[in-house]
Amino acid sequence: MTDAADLEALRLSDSALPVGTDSVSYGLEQFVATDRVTDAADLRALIETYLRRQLGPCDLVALRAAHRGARDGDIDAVVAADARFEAATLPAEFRESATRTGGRLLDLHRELREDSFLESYADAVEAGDAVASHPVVLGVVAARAGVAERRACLIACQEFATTLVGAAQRLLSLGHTDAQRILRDSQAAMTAAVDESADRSLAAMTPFAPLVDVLAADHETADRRLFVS
Amino acid sequence: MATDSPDPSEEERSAAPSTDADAGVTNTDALPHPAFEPYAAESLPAAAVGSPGKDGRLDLTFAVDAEGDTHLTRDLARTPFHVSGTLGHDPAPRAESVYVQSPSGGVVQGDRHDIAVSVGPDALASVTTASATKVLSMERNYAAADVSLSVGAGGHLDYVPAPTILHADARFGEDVTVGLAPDATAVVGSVVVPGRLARGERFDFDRYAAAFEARADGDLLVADATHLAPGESDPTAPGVMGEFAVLGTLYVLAPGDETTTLVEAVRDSVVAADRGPDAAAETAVRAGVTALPNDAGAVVRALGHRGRPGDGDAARRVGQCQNRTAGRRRARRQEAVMLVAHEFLGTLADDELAARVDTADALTVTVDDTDRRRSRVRTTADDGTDVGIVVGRKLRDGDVLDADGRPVVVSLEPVDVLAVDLSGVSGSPSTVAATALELGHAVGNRHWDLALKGTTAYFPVTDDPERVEREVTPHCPEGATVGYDAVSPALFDDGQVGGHGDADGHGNASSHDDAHGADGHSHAHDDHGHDHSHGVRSLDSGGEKQ
Repeated sequence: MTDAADLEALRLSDSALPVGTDSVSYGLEQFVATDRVTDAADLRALIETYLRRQLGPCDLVALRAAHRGARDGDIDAVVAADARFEAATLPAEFRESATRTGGRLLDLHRELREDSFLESYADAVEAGDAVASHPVVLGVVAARAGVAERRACLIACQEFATTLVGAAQRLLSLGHTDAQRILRDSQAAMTAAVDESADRSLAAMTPFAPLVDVLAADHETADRRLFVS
Repeated sequence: MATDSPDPSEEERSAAPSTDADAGVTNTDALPHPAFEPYAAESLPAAAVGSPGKDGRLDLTFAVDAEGDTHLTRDLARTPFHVSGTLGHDPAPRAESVYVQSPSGGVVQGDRHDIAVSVGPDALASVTTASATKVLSMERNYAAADVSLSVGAGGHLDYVPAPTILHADARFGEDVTVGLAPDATAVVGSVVVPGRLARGERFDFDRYAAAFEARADGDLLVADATHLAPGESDPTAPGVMGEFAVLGTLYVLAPGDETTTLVEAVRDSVVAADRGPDAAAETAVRAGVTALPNDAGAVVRALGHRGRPGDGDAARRVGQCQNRTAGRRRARRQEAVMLVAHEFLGTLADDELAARVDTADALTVTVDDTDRRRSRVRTTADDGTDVGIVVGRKLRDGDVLDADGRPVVVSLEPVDVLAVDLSGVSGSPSTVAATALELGHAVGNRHWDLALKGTTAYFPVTDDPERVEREVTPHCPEGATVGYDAVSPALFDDGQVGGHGDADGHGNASSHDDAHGADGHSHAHDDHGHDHSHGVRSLDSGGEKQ
């Protein structure tokens, strides 16, 4: 990649990117509330499940399809990736979190760059034909910024793990060193998730983590909530 | 990662599967999951001829009658499936329930089952299985089931089969698709038990992949998937199954309904089943309820320790609850749609009946060879009238049925046949006998249907005419001529040779026995029309077996 694309990749994976990931926990809040996650080891194991069972077979498949669509200037392919991701994401709060952060990421980049492709995607969202889910928007903005598909997948994994570790620091007593250790120890799972997503068509988008689904559903009716998911 | 996008190494990898498919090496589209590809390459040991059940098929169609009651109007059950009959539906008297039995020991390697349930407009139907489906141990290949459910406008279907039990080394793929017309609803459930838990068998199967898709008017609403491969990735990982063994999912599909209200109603019934007397007990179930994507309805995901229904099985309990709710709702709106023929009056050979058909406002229905074997058929008369036929006998040309006082005449769609005219065969009686026996043996070995009319033998060629001709011609005696014709499928009735694959689960209970008794095949060995065949029907002898 060019230096410009490298810098764009770093910018997109920065946890300071103002898209609202600090308000989502993807069910982690409920895992902590039910004592299923109590320490760094529990968190690391759960993050691996998310990466291997949720991101690899689902989010990254949508991201790759959107990236390809954006490279080819094929808005229909992007819309199809969005629709499939929405249909395959069963917990309602996960869909809400994905469209909330995805919508902000899209709006932000429409401000940052003049790009007719981003505008036509935004039109599709406006018309109700697409939902602007986070992995799809990330695939689109990465492709338009010249960030390669695989690197965009790694950004999605890094960003997701950072989000969960950040949420955990507010829910558990988890030190900064532990937090960084978890991120570094999750790198093998990130690589595996990216590899596993490579050959999948949209029809083979198959997230499978039923206990995450159950707890995410429970979170909807939980009494005390810091996070929207 | 030194290259800019597009990334060439990934382009190559993603292009590979389609190249394979083009070359006809492997059709990955037909696989339950890409991970089944290595299994598919494993050939199966040759099955015994006529071994039942490899291509089990179940085909159920429900429709409402003039009174607004739902009936099973069409059914086809091919081994191992069996439809034991229908029951009125307790909470909704106008609904119909079907219990499907699968009497064979279980699902085995190489099985490819096809299940189709179609619920007509405003019909209310419930389909379940009488017992758990056991997926047995496999050494080669895999087993798969395709389930296709469709519900017409204003109709409702409950499809909640008993649990699927995955024995050690089982490999099973399941594809469930639901198509909903506007204002149609469905409750679809599944429970997966990862082994014979009572004997300590737990997650010892090879692979289980299930895909669920729901569409409304063709638009994708929900695409869910289950993929468990214990040898590859730990099913007990945190967030996956955790400490639980049994997975249940219940999709309550009601697109366009008030989703929030529906989710709350489902959540109320699940919480009651979920918490139970003792949340730590073996019978405890954890279940979550959430709104489905695209306002499609609600879904229950449930995890438990045991698979026995009624034993803390939240998904099934919720299914029953929802079923009552939806049943009551749908029962209120019913419309007249169909004429149903319930009674067999006789045939057109009966002069009196023929005269009545001429004077009355008779309808004619044309049915094909498959439909005429069904105990329930829904078809359209030649004038466009919607007609259901429930007479409990195999239909034949010229049958006259009574549909609420109106005669219905049956006409059968001809089937293509290979006709072997033996009238030109000459030679000594022993030569003729030997050649006839050879032909009969060759055909009988393949368990094809066969009929003899005068000196012409007929073989149906519905599957592959060239193959039939290729198989038959070498065995034809000198002087025989081979040609094609179209005849009534009833020509092959009675004493048919071979009968496996016969789709008829009802009203012709003798057919399977016939298949086994038919090994005598044809030996029309004398010229006096004296037919010794156990399996071949000679029209010269009045059509009766001797």
